Amino acid sequence: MTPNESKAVSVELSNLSDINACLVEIKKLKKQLEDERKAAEKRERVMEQSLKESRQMSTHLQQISQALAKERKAVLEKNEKERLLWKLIERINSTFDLEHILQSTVDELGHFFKVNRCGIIIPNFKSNKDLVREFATGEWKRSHETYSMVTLSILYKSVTKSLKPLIINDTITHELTAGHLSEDLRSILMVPLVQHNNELIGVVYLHQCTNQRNWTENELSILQAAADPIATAVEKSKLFNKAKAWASREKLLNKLTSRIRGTLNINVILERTVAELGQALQASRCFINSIDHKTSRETITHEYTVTNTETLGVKKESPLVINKIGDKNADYISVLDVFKDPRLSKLNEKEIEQLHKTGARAILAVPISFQKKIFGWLCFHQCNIPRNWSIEEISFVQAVASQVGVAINQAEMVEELTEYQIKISRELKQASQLQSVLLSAGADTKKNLPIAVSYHPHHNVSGDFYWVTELAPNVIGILLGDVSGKGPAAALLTGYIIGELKGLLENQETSWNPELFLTVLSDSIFEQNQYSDFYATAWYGIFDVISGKVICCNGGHPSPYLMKGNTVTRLSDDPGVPLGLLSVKDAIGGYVKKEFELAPQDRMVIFTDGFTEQRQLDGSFVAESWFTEALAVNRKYELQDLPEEIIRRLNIVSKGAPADDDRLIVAIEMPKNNIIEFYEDKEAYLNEKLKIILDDVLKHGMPKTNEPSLKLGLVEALYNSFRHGLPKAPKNAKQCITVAWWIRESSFSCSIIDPGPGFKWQEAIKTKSKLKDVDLLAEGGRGLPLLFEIFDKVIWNAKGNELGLTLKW
Amino acid sequence: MKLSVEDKDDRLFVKIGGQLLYSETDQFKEEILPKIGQHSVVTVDCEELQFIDSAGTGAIVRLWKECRMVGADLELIKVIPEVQKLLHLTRLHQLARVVGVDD
Repeated sequence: MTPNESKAVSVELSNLSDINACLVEIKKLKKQLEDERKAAEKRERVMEQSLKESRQMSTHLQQISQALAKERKAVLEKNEKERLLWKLIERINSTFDLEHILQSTVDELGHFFKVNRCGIIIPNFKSNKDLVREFATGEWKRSHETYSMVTLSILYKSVTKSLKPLIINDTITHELTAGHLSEDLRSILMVPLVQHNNELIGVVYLHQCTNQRNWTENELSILQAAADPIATAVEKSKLFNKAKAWASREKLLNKLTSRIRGTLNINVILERTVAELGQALQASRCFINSIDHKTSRETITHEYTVTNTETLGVKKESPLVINKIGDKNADYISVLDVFKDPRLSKLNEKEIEQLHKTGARAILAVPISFQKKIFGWLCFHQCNIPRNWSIEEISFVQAVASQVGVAINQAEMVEELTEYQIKISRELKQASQLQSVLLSAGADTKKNLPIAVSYHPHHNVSGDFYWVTELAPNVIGILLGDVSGKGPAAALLTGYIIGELKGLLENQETSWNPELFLTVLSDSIFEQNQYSDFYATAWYGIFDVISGKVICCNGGHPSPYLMKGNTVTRLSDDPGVPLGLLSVKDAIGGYVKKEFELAPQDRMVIFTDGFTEQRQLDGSFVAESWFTEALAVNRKYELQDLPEEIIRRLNIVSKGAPADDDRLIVAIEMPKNNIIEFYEDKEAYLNEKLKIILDDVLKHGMPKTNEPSLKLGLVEALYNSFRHGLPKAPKNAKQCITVAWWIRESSFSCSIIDPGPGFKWQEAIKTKSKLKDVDLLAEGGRGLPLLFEIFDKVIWNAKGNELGLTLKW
Repeated sequence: MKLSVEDKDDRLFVKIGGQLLYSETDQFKEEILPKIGQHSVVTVDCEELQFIDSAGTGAIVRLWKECRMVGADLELIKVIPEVQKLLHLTRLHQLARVVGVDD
C-alpha cells in the first residue's frame, strides 16, 4: 500500500466522552497508522527488491534464451551439413560411374548453396582429357567446351598449387579477379579435392553471379566437408576402373594365353594377338617386328591398325629404329613423345624421316623372347598425340609378349620336331624296307617248301626276325628270333643278327648243328652287348622234308606247337638262356639239341611272344590255352592260310585289343613224298619210271605243254648222276639214284640223290649256267645250262651229290 | 631210237624216230657218220623223233661238223614243235636248216 492511500476508520460517537479515551484512541490510531506505514514501506522495499530480482532474472533469461538460440542454430547448421554429407555419400555409394557421381554432386551442392553455378574438375594429367561437370541455373548455364576451360584459369591454378580454398567475396575488388572477368561473376568459392596423401585430384567451385555474396565460414566448412566424399568417390571410381581394366586385361591375357596354348598355328595366334592388343590398349597401331636370326633382318610379320591409320605393311623389312635409342636388353622401350624424347637424337635424318612417316607420336616396344632368345618386338604406335604408357599397360604387354615368346618357341620346336619326325619316319620307312629286303631273302617264295609265314611288325621296324634256308634240296633250316625291345634299336640288332646268321648258315659246321649255331650266334651278340643291353631269343631247327626228321635247339624262345593228326601238343625242347646274355664260357650246359620226326601232313608252328603275351582290352593277358584251341580248330585250313587264321583268332580272343608286340608265326608241314629209285639208264627203263613222275605232276595240274621240258630236265639230271655220280660211288653204297618229289600248289620239287662223291657245282655253275655261254660247236656241256633254263630253282647240297629242282607253272 | 639211212645220189637221207638220248647217241653217230661221203646235202627226217636231250643235241652238232668237212649242208626236216623248241634253245638252228613238221 502506498503512503497516500487512506483507510476508513469507524468511530463510534457515543464513546467520545472520554477524551483521554479519545486521545488514547488517536494515539492508538496514530501508532496503527505508523505501523501500517512502516509495513507499507517494508512491502515497498520488498517489492522493489523483487522487481530488481525480476529484472535481473529477465536479463538472465534473455541471455539463456540467446545462448539456446545460438546453440540451436549451430545444431541446425550441423544437421544441415550432416544431411548434405549423408546425401552425397549415399549418391557416391550408389554407383561407380564417376561422371554420374560428379553430375549429381554438383546438382546437389548447387541447390544446397543456392548458387548460380557449382562445378567439379577432375584433371587427367596422362591423357589431358579432364573430367568436368557443372551445375548452373538459368542464364548462367555454359557449354561443356566453355566450362572445360576452367583448368586454364589462374584461379584454378592458384588452388591446385596451394591446395588451399580460394574465397572471393567480390570479384570486383579481389586482386586475382579485378578487371579480368568478362561476365558478371561476383563471388567465387573454390576448394581443392585432395586424397589422404594430400595428392590433388581436382577442385570443386561455387559461383555467385550478379549479386555479391559473402561466403560464411559455415559455407566454406560445408564445401570443404563435401570435398572429402567427392575425393573418395573419385578415388573409388579410379580404383574400380583400374580393377575393371585389370580384370579386362587379365581376361584378354587369359584368352590370348589359352589361344596360344590351344593351337600351334602361330600365324593365326599372332594375327589375333596384335588385333586384340591394339584394341585393348586403344593404340593406333600394334605390330610384331620379327628378327631373323640368320640374317639379323627385321620384318613386320603381323600388323593391326585402327581405321584412318596407314599400315606399315606386313612382310616389309622395317628396322625398328627404337633399337638404336634403347638398350637391346631392355625389358621395354617407351617413348611418350617422339618430338620431345632426347633419345631420338641418336637417329640419323633418314631414320627420323622414316619414323615421322609412320605418324607415330608415342611408341611402346616390348621384346618377345624365350629364355633370353629374342624373336622380335611387340610394338605399339600412338599416332598424332603423345601418350604416357602406364606401368599397368607395359606389364600387361610384357605378359602377353612372354606368352607370344613361349608360343613362337613352341611353334619353332613343333616345326623342328615335325621335320625331325618326318625325317625319322622316312628313315624308319627306309629301315623297314631294308629290313623287309633283308628278311625277304629268308622267305624265298621260290623254295616250294611246305612252309607258311605271317609277319606283322608292331612298328615300322621290328625286333622279330626269321630266316628259312635250304641247307640241302631236301633239308631246310628255320630260324625264328625276337630281339628284346622294339623300334629302331631292336631293328638294328635284328639287322646285325641277320648278317651274322647268314654267315653261320653258309658255314656247314654251324648250319647243320643247331646247338653250335645258337652258341656262336649268342656269343656274337654277347660281344656286341657290351655297348648295349639287348638280348634275343631264338629257335633254330633243321627239317628234312623227305625223312620228316627235325633237329632243333631253343635259346629262350617260346616252344613250338606240334600238330599230329588231331592232337596239338607243345614241343618239349628245353629252352636255354636267351642269346647274348652269357658268353660261351659262362653258358654252362649250353643249348640242348632236340630231335623228333614228323609224319606226312604233321605240322609244326613256331612263333614269337607276340602270340603268348597279348593283352585284352581290359589289360588282362589272353589265356595261353587259346593257342592250342586255335590250332585244333584251324587244322582244316591249308598250310598257307594257317598263320593268318591264327592271327585272326588271336584278334578275336583279345577282343579287338591292338597288338602289343610284333607277331611272327611260321608253320611247316611234312609233305607226302614220293620216291623212285633208278638203277639203270636204258631208254625204256627211264621212260617207264619218268612216266610215273610226269603223270603225277600232270595229275596235280601241270599243263601238258610243260611235260617235254620237265622230262628233259629230269633226263638231264638223271644222266648227270648216271654218268658222273654212280660210276664213282663206293661199292658198299646202294647203286641207284633216288628221286623224291613233292608237289605243292603250282610247284613241283624233287630231290635227286646219287651215292657218288658229288662234284664242285659251285665252280661249274660259274661258267655253265647259261646256254648262251655254251660254245655252239661244242658237242657237250649243255646239260647244266638246260637245267637252269628249264627249272625255276636249281640247287645242290654242299657235296654236290643231291640236286634239288623246282618247277612252277 | 629208230634209225634208217638212205643214200640218194648226192643226198644222204636219214630218218630218225623215238628218242635221241645220251644212251643212244653213240649208236646215232656210229650209224650215220661213216656214211657221209660226197654228198651235197644231209637230210634228217625228224617226223618221228619224239624227244631229244642235251646229248642228242651234241650228236647233231657232231653230225653238222662232219657235213661241213665234206662240204655238205645239214637239214633237219619235219621237226615236231617240242624238239624244235630245244633246237632253238640250244641255237642249233644256226648250224642246220630246221624245218618244222607244219612248215
